[in-house]
Amino acid sequence: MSEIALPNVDRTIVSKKDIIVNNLKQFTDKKNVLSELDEIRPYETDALAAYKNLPLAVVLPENTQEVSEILKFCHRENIKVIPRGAGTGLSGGALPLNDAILLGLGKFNKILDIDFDNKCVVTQPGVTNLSITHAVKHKGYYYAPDPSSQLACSIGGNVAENSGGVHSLKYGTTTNNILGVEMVMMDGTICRIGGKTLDQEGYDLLGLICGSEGLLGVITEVTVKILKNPQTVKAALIGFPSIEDGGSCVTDIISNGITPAGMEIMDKALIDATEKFVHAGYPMDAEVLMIVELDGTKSEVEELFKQIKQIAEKNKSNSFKLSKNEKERLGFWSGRKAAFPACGAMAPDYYCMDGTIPRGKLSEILKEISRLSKKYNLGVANGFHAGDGNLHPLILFDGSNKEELRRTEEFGAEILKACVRMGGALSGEHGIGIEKRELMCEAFNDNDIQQQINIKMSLDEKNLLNPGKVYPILRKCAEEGRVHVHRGEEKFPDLPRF
Amino acid sequence: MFTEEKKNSQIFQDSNHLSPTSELEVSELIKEAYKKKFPIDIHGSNSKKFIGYNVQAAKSLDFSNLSGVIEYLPEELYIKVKPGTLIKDIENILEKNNQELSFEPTDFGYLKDGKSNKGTAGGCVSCNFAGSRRFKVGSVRDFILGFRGVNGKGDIIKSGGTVVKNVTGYDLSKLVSGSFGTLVALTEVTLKISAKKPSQNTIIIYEKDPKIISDLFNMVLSSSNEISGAVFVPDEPKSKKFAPNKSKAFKLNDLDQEGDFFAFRIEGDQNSIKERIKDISNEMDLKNYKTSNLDIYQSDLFWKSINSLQLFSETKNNLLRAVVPPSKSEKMMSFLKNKYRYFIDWSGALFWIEVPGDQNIKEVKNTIIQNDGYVTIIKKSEDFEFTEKLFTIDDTKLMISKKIKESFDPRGLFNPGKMYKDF
Amino acid sequence: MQTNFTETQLKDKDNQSSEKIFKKCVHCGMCNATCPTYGILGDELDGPRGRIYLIKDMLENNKKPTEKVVKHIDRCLSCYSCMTTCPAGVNYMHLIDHGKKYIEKNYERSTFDKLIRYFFIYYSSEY
Repeated sequence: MSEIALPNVDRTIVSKKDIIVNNLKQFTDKKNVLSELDEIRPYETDALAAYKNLPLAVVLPENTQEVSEILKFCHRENIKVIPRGAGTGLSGGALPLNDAILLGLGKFNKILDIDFDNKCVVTQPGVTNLSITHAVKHKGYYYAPDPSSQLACSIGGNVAENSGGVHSLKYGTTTNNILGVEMVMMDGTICRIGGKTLDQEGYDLLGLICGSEGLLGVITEVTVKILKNPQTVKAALIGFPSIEDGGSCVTDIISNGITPAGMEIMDKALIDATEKFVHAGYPMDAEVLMIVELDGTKSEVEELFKQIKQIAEKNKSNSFKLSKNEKERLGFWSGRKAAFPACGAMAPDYYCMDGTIPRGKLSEILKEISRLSKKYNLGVANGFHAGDGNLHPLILFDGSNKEELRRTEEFGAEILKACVRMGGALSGEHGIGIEKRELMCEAFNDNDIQQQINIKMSLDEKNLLNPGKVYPILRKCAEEGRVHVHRGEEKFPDLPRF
Repeated sequence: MFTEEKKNSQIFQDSNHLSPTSELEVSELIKEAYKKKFPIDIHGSNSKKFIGYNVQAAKSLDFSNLSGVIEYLPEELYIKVKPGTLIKDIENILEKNNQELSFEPTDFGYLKDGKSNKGTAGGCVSCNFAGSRRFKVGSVRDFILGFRGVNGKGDIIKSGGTVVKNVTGYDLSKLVSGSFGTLVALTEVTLKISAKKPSQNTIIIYEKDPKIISDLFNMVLSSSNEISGAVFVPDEPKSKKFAPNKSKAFKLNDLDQEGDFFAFRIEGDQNSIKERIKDISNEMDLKNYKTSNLDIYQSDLFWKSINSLQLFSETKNNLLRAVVPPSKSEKMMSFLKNKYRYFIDWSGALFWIEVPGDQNIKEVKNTIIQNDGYVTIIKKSEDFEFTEKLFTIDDTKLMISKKIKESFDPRGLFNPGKMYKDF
Repeated sequence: MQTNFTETQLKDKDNQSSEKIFKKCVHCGMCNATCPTYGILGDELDGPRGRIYLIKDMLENNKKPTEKVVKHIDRCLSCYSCMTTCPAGVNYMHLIDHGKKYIEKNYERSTFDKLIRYFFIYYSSEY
């Protein structure tokens, strides 16, 4: 996991480090430019700590103008730039390069305008997802997408990765919940896309930027839509004796025309782990546990839970518990939300995967994962956003054992390949980043990837903005499959690299 | 394969009207066009052909024969269709499973010749015009899970898939929606579908004061009662320039033909609707207004009329579509009042404005732009002189759009000049 | 996080317990969200995750603290709100104390710095 091919390092850039750093100090306060080894080391990785790489320097601009000046300079001097938000990404999207400037947006941490009349908030990109909700909740509003890291992840990063969360089945992901952005292109051009109006005319540039993983522009302002809190929110815990029963219950609920706000599934391993960790009161006799949350008016929620109960019983559920109050509802979620640390307590390391499958393939993929678990002799715990088919298997391993690390990596790749085979996607919400880059050819052929690269090249013709991410480094990937390269020894040095 | 290629090359030579029946054929034809640098007019059933500039192209590529449902999985909430499939047919298929396209595709048929014509799936996606639920559920672009298509070089490309959550490369499905066929010739689109709500009611409030209407819109947007549509329809200006349509377009038993009215829709099961209407009555103080309640049948007809622009049925005038931040609706209303025929949708954000005469367009356009909105000239009157641009765009975005266009279609063959003069 | 302590280093009791804590940290960054200094400065180095990195680097490599590193560690208010949000239960308190202790032992503060410190100690002992 720690050795992966990166774009070739431009030695001339590295040799000019001092000049570059001095230049950067013209564009922003000089204390915002970090260049000493001690200072830049903590920036060598994001939340996917398996990959580490030092940047040339770190710069923390304070406003859009500064970002524009910095990018203009880098564009002129052919210096690569890696944008970074809160550094909570799980796919290594903010992994620095030795000859690149790391552009941190941590100082863009202010909410600029709360507009209740137009139901939107204009904010700088470094503001965290949850603080937007905090800023509007006194009037009964909230911002819908809620990734698990919503406490810490920045809204700019959410746009870059098109983050979802537990409630994206009903409320969509980031792309469905933003109205506009201001961004700076690699050549320093400042561009406003959208605003306080719904949709935009012409090409949907907002849709293109959302989920572009920082390859097309640096986001310096975001306008998000806020929603009124639902009147009633209730959750139910439903236990099932087998994976098949749980899986078919998910499909039955959806085909009965019910759209839950959230629908989660946990397997036995995860139930055990979390129950030990937080004592959420989960039924221990269940093989599969489902958490269903509904929101809406009181009578509607009650009526739909009646229907869900019937559907669950038809699918042989062995327990059904409806939350009586808000405290109990949050209790139901506490276990699911503690999935990561609970697994952290079970093994020295865990590797969180993020694939998507069609809902109907739920039990099929769970069986495949358990087969692979045996094959690779590694433990795995499964948490799913079942409503939208987004799965997060957590592979348990010991990172200090090199051989186990290798097995983990292969296990993870096989899960994702299975997702694609079943008609799903490589990533639901973490993004491709550096982690799944070489797997892109599982889902796309050369034409598809070439078209995407053409777009990238049309907006960043020198390929300076976040290079080495998302697209396979070795082209002709369809033949190569996953490429594993040791530092310095690239397999095909003459092939064009992107 | 070789002979197939040759055959298509021959077809390309012989005919100016090409009507492929397979993706491969589309790809071959476009490869020919690319080689010979022939511009192509890409279209479906031509239901929205009048929108945008006229395309000057040597060849026309008609997608209406590339039609049919590829895959429909009700429990997975998606339908995969070929681009020429009629929206009407898709809706009929979904209806059988109590499902629908909840973005309510705008029906431009009445505008053209007084009868319904929702066009094809490809056209619907390419134009990205969503109906009254927009502010609640999203636009057409929010319902496209993935597509396959052919780019300007003839390469078959795909993006997205069939699942809602998908962050694998750029989300090209969004880019393609609203591109008026200038980027990709679609060969397959996957649409997200939703369960149809069992019932609906519409409450009509007879009111004309712009301030009050604007407040009502705001209350709709602030309400937690899941209102899924809110419009304001004023009386037509008393002028010969507007052939009266309103009483015909909204001919319903429980709707008074006289006077301006505000209407909102609530969908769900009967009990929930009742409960919510009660709650909203308090929120909006409905007892102070003259109101009426449209039952499920009338409500259905009412919103069909709204989403098919029947107010402007067969108009000879210009029709503008403007989107503004909802807080600007009051200013817009005060400006438009008694001067133009218009109605407001999307709870104060979308204005459909009928403007007779070329010289008035400038005034309307300026007002919209002053109110932070954007405007598209949808239908042009016969004397339209093209002094005003049909789409609004700033220079930076035009530059970016141009670059993106080139990355898909380097020789500028697809629908040249459809959206902007430059490409 | 992976750690790189030598066996000799691990003979030190403080190093031993710190190593265990470093291993617990998954580098998720939740701590930064509730850190008051990160909230104001927006620099990774002024949040708990960055400070842990700085401390780990110093300890593992027996580094002499530089002025800049000391500045960032000094800025920690020891409010420990980060510990309330850490999903992995990292004992940040121990780490920052260890780091501060290491700095006091291995770093020569400027006369001005020392003066200010004496001044504060003097006054706080008055109350």
